[in-house]
Amino acid sequence: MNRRQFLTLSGIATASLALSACAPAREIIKQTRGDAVPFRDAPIVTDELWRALNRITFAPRWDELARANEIGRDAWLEEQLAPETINDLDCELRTRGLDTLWMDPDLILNVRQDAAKQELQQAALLRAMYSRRQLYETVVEFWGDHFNIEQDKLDCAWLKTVDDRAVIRQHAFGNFFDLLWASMHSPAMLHYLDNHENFAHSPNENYARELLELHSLGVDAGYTQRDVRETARCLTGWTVNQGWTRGRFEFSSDHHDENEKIVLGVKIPAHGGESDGQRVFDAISAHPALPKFIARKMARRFVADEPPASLVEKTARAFSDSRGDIKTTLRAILFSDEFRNAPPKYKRPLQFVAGALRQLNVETRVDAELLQYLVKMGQPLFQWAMPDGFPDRASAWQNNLLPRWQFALALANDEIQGTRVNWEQLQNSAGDGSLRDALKHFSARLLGYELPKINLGAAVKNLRGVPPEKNTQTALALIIASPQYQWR
Amino acid sequence: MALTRRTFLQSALAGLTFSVFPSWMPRLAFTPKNAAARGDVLVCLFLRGAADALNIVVPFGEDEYYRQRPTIAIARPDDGRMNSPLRAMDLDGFFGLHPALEKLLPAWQAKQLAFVHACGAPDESRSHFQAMELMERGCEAASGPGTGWLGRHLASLDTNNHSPLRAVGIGERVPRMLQGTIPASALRSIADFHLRGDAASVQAMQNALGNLYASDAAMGEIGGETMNMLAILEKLSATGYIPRAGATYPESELGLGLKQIAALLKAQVGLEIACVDVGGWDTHIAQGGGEGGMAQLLRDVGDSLAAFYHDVADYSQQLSIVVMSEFGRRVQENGGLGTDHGHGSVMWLLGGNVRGGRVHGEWRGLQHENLFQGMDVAVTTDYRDVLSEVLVKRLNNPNVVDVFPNYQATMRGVVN
Repeated sequence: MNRRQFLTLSGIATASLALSACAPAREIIKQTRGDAVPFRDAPIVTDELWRALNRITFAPRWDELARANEIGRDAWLEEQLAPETINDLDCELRTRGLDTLWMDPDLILNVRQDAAKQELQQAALLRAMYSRRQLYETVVEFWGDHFNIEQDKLDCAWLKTVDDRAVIRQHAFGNFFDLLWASMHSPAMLHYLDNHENFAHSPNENYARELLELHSLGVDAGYTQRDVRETARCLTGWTVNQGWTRGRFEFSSDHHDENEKIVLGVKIPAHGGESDGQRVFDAISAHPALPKFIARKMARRFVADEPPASLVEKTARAFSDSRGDIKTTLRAILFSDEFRNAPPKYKRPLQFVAGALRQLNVETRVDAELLQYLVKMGQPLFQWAMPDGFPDRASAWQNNLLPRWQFALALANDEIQGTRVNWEQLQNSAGDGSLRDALKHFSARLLGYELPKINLGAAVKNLRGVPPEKNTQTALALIIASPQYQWR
Repeated sequence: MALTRRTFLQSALAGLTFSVFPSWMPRLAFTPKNAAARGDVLVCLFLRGAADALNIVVPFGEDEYYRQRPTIAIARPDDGRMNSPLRAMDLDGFFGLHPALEKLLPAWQAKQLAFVHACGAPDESRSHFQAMELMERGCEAASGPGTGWLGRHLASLDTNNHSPLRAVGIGERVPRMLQGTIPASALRSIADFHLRGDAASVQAMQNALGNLYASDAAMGEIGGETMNMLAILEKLSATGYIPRAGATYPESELGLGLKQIAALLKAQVGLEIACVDVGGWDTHIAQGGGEGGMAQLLRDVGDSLAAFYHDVADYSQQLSIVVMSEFGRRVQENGGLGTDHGHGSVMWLLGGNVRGGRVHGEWRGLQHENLFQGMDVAVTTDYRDVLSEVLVKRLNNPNVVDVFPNYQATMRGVVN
């Protein structure tokens, strides 16, 4: 038996294991979902609580609102900061069938290479929707942007799956420096930014530049073109195996530049070999620009496009004092007054789509058609070509409204393949069946407040030609497409 | 009386009926400094990732070019060792065009295609993101206006054009250069720009959305814009679009995008500015030469532009196309048979009033002492000179001081 046959066989074994787990799994899913609070019983919560939940989840499910209402905002945030204490079986079972998420790189390469790309996209949306560890998933998305990798580049189609698991998800709530170190060794990253072809005789600067500019220090940190060059020299020979262990990190001493280097003012003696990378990492880690750069970016995600300097300062201090502990840094943001009083942020497409599906408790398999809506809205998952990740400012998203309106209509009319609104559940709680009632109901549930009377009156007037049996669908589509729903 | 957006629509769409047409938010208060008749339609194509200028417009007359790029250089037009489809196409005895751009050669020969070599911005960061941001804002420093240069052009010039299609970004977003007080919307596909459903329900939904958006301070403008575009594009997509015979667009995003622009242009719906992005130019490895990765990208650009230019040939006297990138790439190839970030780049100009058939700009050569920091092509023409000239001479904007703040543009004679 050769290696390929062996791997194929073991792949089949894994797949059938997953299959056989299916039938009982359905039962368990049913049970785990049994605790969902009925829609009509969703609690009316304070604005402050609504805003907090809406900001650190992809939009709160009503049972999450109920839980937070019960234990209080701060306790709920602490619970989210300890994801291991949150039962996430429902989400785990829903993503179980996506084999490539769990496979070793060799196995993906040999057995399921073609499936890896779409399975990871599906997983991201399924997790955003069904995971109860919402803050964790939000932070995973944040680091996925920070260490952006495009699946369409070379072997990243399947190696990104490994990066997502072993780098991003592994360290998302851990220590930033562990995350950075893991990313420096990530085969997907080395491929994506061309370091696998960084050779002593003529260095390739691509990864080195983005390591400094995007991953750690920021373009204004004061480093020079020479620092970029020297960093690239330190990382010559950091590559990805193309042979028996294809897709694993490898240091190739043949291609390493063994002469002396100076990076950010630190002298790195000759003949350091692979440890040059450690020296570069140390120099970056000690650089004063790093904490503020990371703090500002996190504050932007959770608080405002242009976060207040006071908050950035505080957050950077928390980062420094804890030596890069991500949870400590998050706490500095989440328990700040700036977060409490944060202005609205424009929803990115994933937040908009996953959020609507969450709030309505929609059942979805995440077929290609659903993912395609994200493409049209400008957020094709794991396919942002430039290394800066999807933008995090309203101006980058605001001028593309139509796909959001199309999604609202398609969702409300059950026109998205593999995605179904649970109308029975919604209608039972939608009041007297009148359009006005449905609009009040959905705005309260989806926006956190009822539409003002003047808007309600106008909408009812505008929609009077709609057949009464379509009232619920129409009201739902209008609220999702509304200007108010584009913000959180 | 100036047309309002609403009356514009009513006149442009006499055939369409609106049961209730929402009254849009009044335009945020600003007064354009100048009024003028509409000039050329400007199509701005941005090559994202820093396209390698030296392999697009090849200085084959320089031995140094071949010394610095032993593997990826484009062969001389008369290099007998190489098949002719892989050699540069002679432009003027010194510069040659990458062979994948062969379909643009007729435009060059007709003197409607020009290049400005060693062109670029003063920014020295070699960072894609800083360079693109500054270039799109038309600024030299982080301070200065946050809007884009095209956004400020639109705001500073009153062309009595209230069409929602005055400016569009092709694709899923509107690039920074187009952002400003005049709303511009993203347009991916005319055929897909509609709401599905039975006509009465869709109309009712549009009216309801129209009202909600009109009363929203943050989203009123873009909501109204989208609504108005729906009305116009619905009419367009109903008739379908058939390009002029002989205009064969590649089935690429760029090809499809340019086809949308051609449809808008010919439908006379008020288009003044269209922005298109093409990515993939960050060729640190396996860039290739006459064939390979970058050659494929160039073929797409060349074939798409040639199809577009042929398609809209009747409008070429009122059309300016600009192709640009954030900076150029290193003269010397790297160990991965690619190129790292450099400095000076090349701008392309295509249109009926371009001073074409010429490579403009001062060329200092590739000798070490003539290079920027000893490694990159030095910038001898500021990109703002080229854009200013196009805005002043072709788009009738008499005053570009607001478009490029703190910059005194020099006319370089690149357009008539």
